[in-house]
Amino acid sequence: MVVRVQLLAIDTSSSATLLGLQLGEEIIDRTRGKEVASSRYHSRDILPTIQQMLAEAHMGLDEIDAIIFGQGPGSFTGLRIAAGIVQGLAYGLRLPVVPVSSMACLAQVAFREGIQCRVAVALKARLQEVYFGTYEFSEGVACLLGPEMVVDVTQTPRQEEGTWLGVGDGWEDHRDSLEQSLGITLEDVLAVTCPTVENLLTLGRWKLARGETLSALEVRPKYMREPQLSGARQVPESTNLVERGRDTHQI
Amino acid sequence: MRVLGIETSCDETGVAIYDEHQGIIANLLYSQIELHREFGGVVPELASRDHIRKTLPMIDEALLASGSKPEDIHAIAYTAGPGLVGALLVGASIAKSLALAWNIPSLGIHHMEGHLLAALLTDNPPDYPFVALLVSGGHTQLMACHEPENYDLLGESQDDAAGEAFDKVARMLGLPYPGGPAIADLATEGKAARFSFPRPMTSKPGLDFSFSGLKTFTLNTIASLKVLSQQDKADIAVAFQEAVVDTIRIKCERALAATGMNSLVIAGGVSANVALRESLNHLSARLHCQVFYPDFRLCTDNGAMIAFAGYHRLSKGHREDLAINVKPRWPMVEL
Repeated sequence: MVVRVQLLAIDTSSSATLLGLQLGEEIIDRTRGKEVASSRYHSRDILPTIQQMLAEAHMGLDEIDAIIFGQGPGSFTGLRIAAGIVQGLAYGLRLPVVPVSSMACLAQVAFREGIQCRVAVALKARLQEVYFGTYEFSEGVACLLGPEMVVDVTQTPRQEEGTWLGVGDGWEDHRDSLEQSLGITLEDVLAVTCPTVENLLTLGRWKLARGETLSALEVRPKYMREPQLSGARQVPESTNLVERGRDTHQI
Repeated sequence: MRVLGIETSCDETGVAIYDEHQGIIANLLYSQIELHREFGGVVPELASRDHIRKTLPMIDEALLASGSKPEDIHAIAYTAGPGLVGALLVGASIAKSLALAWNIPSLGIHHMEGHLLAALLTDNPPDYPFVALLVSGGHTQLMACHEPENYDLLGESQDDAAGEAFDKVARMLGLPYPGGPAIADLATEGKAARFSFPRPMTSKPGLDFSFSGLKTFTLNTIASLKVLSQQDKADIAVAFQEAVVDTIRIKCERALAATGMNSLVIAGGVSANVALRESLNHLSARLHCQVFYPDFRLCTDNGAMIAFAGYHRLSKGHREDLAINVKPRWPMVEL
């Protein structure tokens, strides 16, 4: 008998909010915000959408086998909302969590049968910095080559020459500096910035099959960057609207 | 019936369980004070990062410590505001998703209503109506409380909250964060008669507060001294504390007179201040009114008050949908 695996996938690292279900071979994808930023989910929509997906699939929450969690990097507050939701659901339902790098998910976008090249993902971080990671495909999934990092575009680690494909918006402004510091020349750049539910699930299934799971209590966002600590604020004050708004983030 | 309460509005992670027959059966608190001390105040991003690490393990521990199984929990209450938005979102995300997983209601609680109700968590709670003084690092408010969930704002701070003024003056004196306990300690060594600090907004009628000018007055007093000795610091600490306490006492007396009520409930972190308690005890003896304080353990932010407020709301039939929705600014009169 073939066991039908049922997975919930969530990633809020990019400007899109990825929400999806894997039901055996079938995938339900409720991602929002890939094309039009204004169409993205507000945090208030995530749980109702999960419930709607389950209703469409005529299944209950307790029939889910595992949760695939896009760990980041990305917006700190966005990552924490997803992490909080994953913690609560996984703890309450006693489910394993499969953490997936949101950058590996982006690298996975480049996959096609027979692909031989390596993938360098660079995402805009701040000023001259990028989130950076290198991957190669094995068994159809993007596997990490070197450590993922946040790095100045002129300080990226040198890579072996060969056929390289660039992925992400970090290449837009910094392609020359990056190629120089990496010591490589890209074949091409895919300017995608949002992972997809399909790729998230592909990587999640692969890690799940290898038992690379966490318990709810171990789920953490992958920030990769320390917060800026210039100017601490006093405890919140009801009259202090502007300052408070700066920390506001909606996904 | 048991309600799990989660508090993450600022720099304390609080998780507690309230049982309708046994009262508070678990009450865990993790304070981030050490984390923020070197910055002299709360760093919102650091606070949020700590909440996402601590909250769920504390829920796990609270269930274990109270011998509660998931099926014993009938609702999850969380602080929905006011507070730091990123910090609130952590508690709300965990609370609402866990409530969905357990198929029980979740309830967003007003942080200051939590503080207010904490004063009712005693064997001898006050009867409604009463005047409530909510005084913390984020708030200084006088409320007329007619009955549960029916509150009128009588007056509030036009600028800094009292606790915030304590923190800022502590910084001027080179004292550690949080400023309240640090100033109260130092004040015990001070000579009260040396400096005379103003009692802001007491010469005119009204129930509003202002502590910003008092802060400036303190700064000017420090600047007028060429060298700041330990005794100078202690004398300034006692003069500042007396000015804040006196101002609050004057406004409380006015609020009692204006409403005709004869019970006063004090809530919020500053209600732990001993000098404030002494002053209000004298007031209550003089006016023949009653004054109520929360247990010292419940003066700071905590999960117990949120669990207890959640129990109240649940008993009144309150329910909310699955939307994760926090309110960084949320006047209590909107309840």
